[in-house]
Amino acid sequence: MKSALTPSSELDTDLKLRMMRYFWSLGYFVRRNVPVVETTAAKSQYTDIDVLGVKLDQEFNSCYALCDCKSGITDGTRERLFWLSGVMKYFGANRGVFIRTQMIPKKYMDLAERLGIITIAADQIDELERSYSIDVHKFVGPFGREYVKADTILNSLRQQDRGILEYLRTRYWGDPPYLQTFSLMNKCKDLLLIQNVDEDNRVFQVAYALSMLSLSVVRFARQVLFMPQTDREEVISLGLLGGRTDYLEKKELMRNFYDFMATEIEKRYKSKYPVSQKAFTENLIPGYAKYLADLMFGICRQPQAALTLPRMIDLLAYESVLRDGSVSGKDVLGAEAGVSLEDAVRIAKDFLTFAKRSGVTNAYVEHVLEEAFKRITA
Amino acid sequence: MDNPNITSKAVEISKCLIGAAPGMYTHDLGVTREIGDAARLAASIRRRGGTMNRETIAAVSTALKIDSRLTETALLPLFENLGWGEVKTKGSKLEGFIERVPPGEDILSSLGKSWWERDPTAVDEASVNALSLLSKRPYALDALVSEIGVNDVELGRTLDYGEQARYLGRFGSEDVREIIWAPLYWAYNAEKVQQFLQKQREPNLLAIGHLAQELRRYPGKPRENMDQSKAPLLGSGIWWGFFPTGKVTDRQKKVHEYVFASTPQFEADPKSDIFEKARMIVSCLRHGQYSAEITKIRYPLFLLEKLRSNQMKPHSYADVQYAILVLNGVVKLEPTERWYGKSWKVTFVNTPENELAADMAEQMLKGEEPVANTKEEAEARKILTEGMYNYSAEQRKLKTASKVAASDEYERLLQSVGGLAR
Repeated sequence: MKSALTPSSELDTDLKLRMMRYFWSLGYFVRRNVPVVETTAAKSQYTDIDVLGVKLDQEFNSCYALCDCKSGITDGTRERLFWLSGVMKYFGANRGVFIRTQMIPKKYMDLAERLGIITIAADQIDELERSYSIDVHKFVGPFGREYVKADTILNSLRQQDRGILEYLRTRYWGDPPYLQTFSLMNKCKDLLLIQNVDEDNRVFQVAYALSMLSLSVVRFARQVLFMPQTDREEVISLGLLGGRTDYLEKKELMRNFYDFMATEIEKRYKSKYPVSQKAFTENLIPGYAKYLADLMFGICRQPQAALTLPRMIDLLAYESVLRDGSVSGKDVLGAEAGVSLEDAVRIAKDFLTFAKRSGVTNAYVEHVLEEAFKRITA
Repeated sequence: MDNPNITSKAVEISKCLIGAAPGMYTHDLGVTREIGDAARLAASIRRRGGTMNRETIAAVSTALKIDSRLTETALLPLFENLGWGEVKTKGSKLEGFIERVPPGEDILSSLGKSWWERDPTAVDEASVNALSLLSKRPYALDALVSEIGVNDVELGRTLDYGEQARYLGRFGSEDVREIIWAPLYWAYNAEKVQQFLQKQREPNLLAIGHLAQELRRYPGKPRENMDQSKAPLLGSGIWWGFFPTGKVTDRQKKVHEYVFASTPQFEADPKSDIFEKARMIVSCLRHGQYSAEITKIRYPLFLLEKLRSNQMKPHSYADVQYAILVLNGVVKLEPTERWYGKSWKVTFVNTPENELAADMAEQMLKGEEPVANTKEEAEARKILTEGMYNYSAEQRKLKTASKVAASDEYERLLQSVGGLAR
């Protein structure tokens, strides 16, 4: 991964931000510089995706788009196309876009077509922006101009709790939605426990994690969208543990472990194990499962409005928490036709209620986000 | 007393006070009544989602027999304060409510906390405490007074209100002049249960309390699995109706009994008692757990979920196990042919009442004390899910007094009014 900004990398960054904005205008949730880990026997090697976009359809199916932006001429275009094709396969992405400042797209059209990639010359982006009526002066949310500040705050986690940063940046993208939800809930709680951290930075870190959590929760809701209401709660609770089979196996294991402990304590200390078997084994399902079920009921009741949730939380994180500004309803709703801002705000507040009840926020985070809600404009 | 217990007792008391003409009890039991009403309303609108308009809120309040003015001025602001939703107003007029009510256990614990924060009166405290103790077992008056720590005046008011609203009662027994009990828990068979209790002495009352506690923790315990040393007391308790049972008859005509602790009864007709249906469901599942002839159930909670969502596989024993649920309209059986012969597909009859009963059965199987629900909650659900109000709930006759007043109420009024006049 690159760290120091060179003129070439500045050009790269500009391309990346514009492509993020383009994808955002089409309804994608976007991230920049997502590392891909290729674990080898000796060490972990990193390569990163310049722009990653996730778009959910009306039934919460995910569609990934990857974008490789190159401003220089150091790497061969053909090699990059093959590389991008491999990464697309790794992510299960069905869209790939390759952008280069100096390129004749026609030359690579056949190869790109076979690999399912669109090649675009950098100057072609201007035309795309005009075609899609994108305001070229507007850089908001994750493609806002304060990305350096955002990166600095997030990267400060490297000193405080490297595991959180690694998860948010890298490992998150390799997990299925239930595991993302489970892991992020724990990471958010960990974020609240870090000592000696600037509280404003912490709020951004939590809000950033919550925006990714909201994406996972909506994707997770796909599992229950087509189910009868009576089944949903169970599927959600057990889904957090990988499904019923995994749950029963874990419970059996816990029960055996409990029996062993109880017998040993009885034998050695002539006293009873202070926790009941029921309490011991039922702790497997996280306490927040019931709140998650409530949230998912709301998501399934209004799937169209729920599609705006990840982008709303992301904008709140960047625009209101990081920049102390306000979120514009237009930026949230974007391509989502037929959803009112009121519905979008309501579902975002449902999400914040879930976060509060589940203990992944603290009073200050809640205060900042509640104030941010008040500043949302049409 | 813990917060969830406070709220559930407040619910019971507030239900017993439904329909009573205004009196000083509205002051003495004001906090309890408001918290009880809040819990009932919250449980009824939970998971409604979206914005409820003013008329829907009024209809739900009416079904629950809560004055909609109280809902608008006190209960919804309380919910907003607790983070359970947002009140939408236009000027001073209520426009709607965006619901975010948390799960049942949170409703109970948060409202229990609110009960304390609202500075309950001594009568509030004594009533909730007394009902909580007496729901487990009767107490001699002296013992009860020492447990709840209340002076004579407050005790008098507590018992007066309780007796008139029929959640507390008193009688003499063989060795103690006055015994206080909770007839609300045995409303259908109060006389019979009273006869049973009158014969008991204090050590037996204590033992009854322990049995009730055990059955609360594990509702629907097979009678044959109960501690044999307590069998005579349990047997007579069952015979006199102190411990309700659910019965399932197997193919050999052997009757299996599943024993429960008593639950509050608000309906005049035993067949209308939602708890009765919940007990039936639990009994049938326990039968599958302990005495099924073919396949024993390991996880009754999972089976209940399958039952409610009609995902149970057809089974040849279902006609025996679920016969009582068929008779009471909770499930329907359809014959099907399987490779091993004739079997039965079980279909849950999806009515708000049955859903409510299944919810309570679920709470019982989880070892939680079910909240005192009645048909009113089912009516409220009907309004929310089907948008209709069935006025049949109005036809039921509540065994509550139309007037609730302490014996010193008149003197007290004179004193207070006289004080004002000076």
